[in-house]
Amino acid sequence: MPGIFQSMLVIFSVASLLTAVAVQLFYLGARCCFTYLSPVRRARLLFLLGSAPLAVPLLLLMLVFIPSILTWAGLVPDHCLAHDDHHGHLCFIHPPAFIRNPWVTVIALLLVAIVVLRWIRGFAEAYQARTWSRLFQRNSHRAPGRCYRLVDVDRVLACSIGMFRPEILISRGLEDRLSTEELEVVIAHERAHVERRDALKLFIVKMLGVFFLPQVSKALLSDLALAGEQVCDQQASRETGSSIRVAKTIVKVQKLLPEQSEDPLPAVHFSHVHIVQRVTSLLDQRSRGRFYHGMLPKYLLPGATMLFLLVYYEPIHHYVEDLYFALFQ
Amino acid sequence: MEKIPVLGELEQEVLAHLWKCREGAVKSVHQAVGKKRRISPNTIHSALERLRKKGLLVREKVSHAYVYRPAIERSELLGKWLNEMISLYGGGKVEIMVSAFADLTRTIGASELERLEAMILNVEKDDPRGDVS
Repeated sequence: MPGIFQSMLVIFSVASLLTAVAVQLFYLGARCCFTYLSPVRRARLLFLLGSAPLAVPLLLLMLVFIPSILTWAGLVPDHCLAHDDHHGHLCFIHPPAFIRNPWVTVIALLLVAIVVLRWIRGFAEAYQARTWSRLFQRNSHRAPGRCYRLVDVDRVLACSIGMFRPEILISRGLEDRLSTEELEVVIAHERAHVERRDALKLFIVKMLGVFFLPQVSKALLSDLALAGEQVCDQQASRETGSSIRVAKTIVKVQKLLPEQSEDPLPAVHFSHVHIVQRVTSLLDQRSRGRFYHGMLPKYLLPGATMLFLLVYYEPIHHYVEDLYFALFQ
Repeated sequence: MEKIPVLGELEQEVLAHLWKCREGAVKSVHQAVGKKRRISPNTIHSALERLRKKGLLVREKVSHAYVYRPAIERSELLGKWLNEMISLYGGGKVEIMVSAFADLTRTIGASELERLEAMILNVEKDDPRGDVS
């Protein structure tokens, strides 16, 4: 059985690295064209790209081991008996021998260790953020008939907070300073974030950013966050019936913010760039027409992947098997 | 910026009780908070002392027992927590979990905001309602 785990570890590591390289090359080459996609589609594409270094190796592992799973389930005859036995099998029933090449295992383990260490740091940050999220949720109250929690503080705050069970937080200071229509815009925007689980998506892409170069990971996160903000702005525009009202509210809330703090804070995050892009996008009437709205249905990619899996699982299993044993045995 | 401690669940509940009642000794706080949580008066005493050391409570000896009072008002502490969270957000620590409606770290300049306002006015002249079809 150690041979199975070793082969899974090596295949997963190599596939992750190759996918990350391919995604980065595609992203850097095609990034300028992404602005032609509508925010919804752009967000979806960026999330797919960001999660590819995990999703593709998992899919590949599934394809590689599917013949033995089907045999084990009694759906097909033993796949390995049909092979000529010129090399080992990537199979649960006839597991491959452990490859006594220290470099293969050491390099794969090193990659896994780097990933795990980065993830521990990421999860520690997420835990810290969760503590803050709980602190504000505990120290706020939900008034009857409201879909948000009111933080009783005379300062300006409007955000959605939390990853798995996000909540909208709005401060009394903001509630007092905005008209009912403006408050509707803020709530509609934040509610869209909650419904879309944007924080969770960003967290997943941030965690998988370990496979990318730091600059690429940061740019991908920034683009994904901007796309998410624009989707929520569009949602707010639809709900309130006016994109100009949304743009005006964004600028108004932004203008209220400087009242609350003496010194600007260091900004290594990305929202400051987004304000300008969000407002410009809302105002740019032509932008509504310039987005690509062609045939890119939601279920096209998962559907195509399933079809691919059904048709090509056996050739892929053999290619990977040949390659693995040729390179590492 | 002054660092404000993030409080544990029990500390928050004890502090919330003292904000409501204005003052309390270990016995009364235990009656209100500790009994329903099935914790001992010693645990309540520890929580009160931790809060005092964090500068959030003051104590005074009345007869043979200490009476604790909040050293800071709820809205003031919330404001400080908010500052701290925005500071962490600015440092990229909690940004993945917070989707703020506007740029909380206010790095966008006044001139940029004026430019955006002028753009909105221009568009509004052509399309006063800015309706979304």
